[in-house]
Amino acid sequence: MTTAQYKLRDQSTVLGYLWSFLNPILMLSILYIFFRNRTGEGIDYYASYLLVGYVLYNHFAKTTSSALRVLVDQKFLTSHTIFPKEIIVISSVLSRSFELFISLGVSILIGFFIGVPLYFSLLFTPVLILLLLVFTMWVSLILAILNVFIRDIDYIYDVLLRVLFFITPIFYAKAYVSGIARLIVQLNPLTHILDFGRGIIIYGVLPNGLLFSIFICINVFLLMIALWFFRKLEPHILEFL
Amino acid sequence: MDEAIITTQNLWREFPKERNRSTLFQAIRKRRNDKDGGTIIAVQNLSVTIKKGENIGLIGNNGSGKSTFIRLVAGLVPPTTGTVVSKGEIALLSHLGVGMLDDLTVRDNVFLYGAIHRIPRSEISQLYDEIIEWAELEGFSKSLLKNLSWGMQARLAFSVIRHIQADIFLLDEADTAGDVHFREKMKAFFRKQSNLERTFLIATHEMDFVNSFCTKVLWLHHGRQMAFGEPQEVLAQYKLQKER
Repeated sequence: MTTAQYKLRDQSTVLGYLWSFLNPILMLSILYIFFRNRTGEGIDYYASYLLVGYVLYNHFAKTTSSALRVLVDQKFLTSHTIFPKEIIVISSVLSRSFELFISLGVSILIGFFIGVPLYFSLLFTPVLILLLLVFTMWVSLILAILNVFIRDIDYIYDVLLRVLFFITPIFYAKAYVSGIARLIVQLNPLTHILDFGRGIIIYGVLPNGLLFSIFICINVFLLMIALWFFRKLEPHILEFL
Repeated sequence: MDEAIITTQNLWREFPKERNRSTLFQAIRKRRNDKDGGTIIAVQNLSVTIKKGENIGLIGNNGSGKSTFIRLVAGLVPPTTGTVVSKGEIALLSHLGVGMLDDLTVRDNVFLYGAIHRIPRSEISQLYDEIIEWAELEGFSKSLLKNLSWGMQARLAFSVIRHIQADIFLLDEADTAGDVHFREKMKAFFRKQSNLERTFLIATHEMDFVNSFCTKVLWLHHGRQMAFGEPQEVLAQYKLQKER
């Protein structure tokens, strides 16, 4: 099912993949031109910093947005088959993993060409992908099941994603914000995933082992909770679709 | 053969009258006020025992509760009250081809449809040529599903599901798809399968098929059991009621 969903999108062809890369490149160029000398001042390898941050955020935003709609979009599959419905959401999320893998590979390559050294910490990239996958998965499961019952979750989430873009340090460093804004940024799980990603890809820095393990455990725990929540509401899906 | 494979006791299923997805605001308000828009009774007080190897025809007018009963047995919806117990692997064949995707090729759809019905990929790989041959779609492997007629799509879907290994087959008007030739092929398959002690529960409007294939018939009307027994007897009662 994952393969089928992947093949359905245009990313399964090289040309299709290039098209999907055009939007982020355009966005990144604008961010780079406007913020390089402002929020980007003092950040080493700012272009790479922007790229890695945007790739991770963009993956999260695109994956959760499409997973949110998958149960309703595939209404017939949801209501006429007897396999566990979380599989539909899980395969929707997994089908975008290959895209993330390619995007991170391209980011590393671009970083290398603009002078970012190649560190051993790059070997932790699969951990980064796995961590983002777990985070994206639990958010997607909750959104997808809620969308079956509440029809405007779609619009509400769209607004939340815009807010998330600004409270995630994509084009600025955490040090750039202070007070309550700093607290909000720190409480955002995506901030820590971006920190980890940039650390291993651009700066050759590994996170504090204990804190990082706690962060992973929290996300795995939340994944379990999301699965439980999904299964609790699953029997009522047919009442609304 | 006397082993009960599906047992329902006082099975009751209601659905809310208003089944629209609410907005977040409405959801919060509804919970606070706890207002009830009323319910529709889809299945009421149904107690039946279906034995292993029986072929049950499920008949009744549209809206009589046939699909809900099938969904209750499949475990797709929980009962409001009462119980439904089934022993063994269930295959639900409701609306042939559900889950197949228009923009994928015939080949991709065979694997996808197989996965939806829990047929291992390795098995589909081995059976692929036979599936295409049975569906009479040789030479169409690379065609997109949307370029096939509905009859061809139904043949392809059915050709895949022939390989489901299940003890109980639940069919919700799946026998109405395709042309006469295809329907004959499909019925021949059912007859072959019923010899393997598989249990069939078939919701249908095709009375000839019920008469020739089913060992028992369950007639539902407004969710109530009107009759359950020998096909000829139940069909005669059903006909009489329809003529009134």
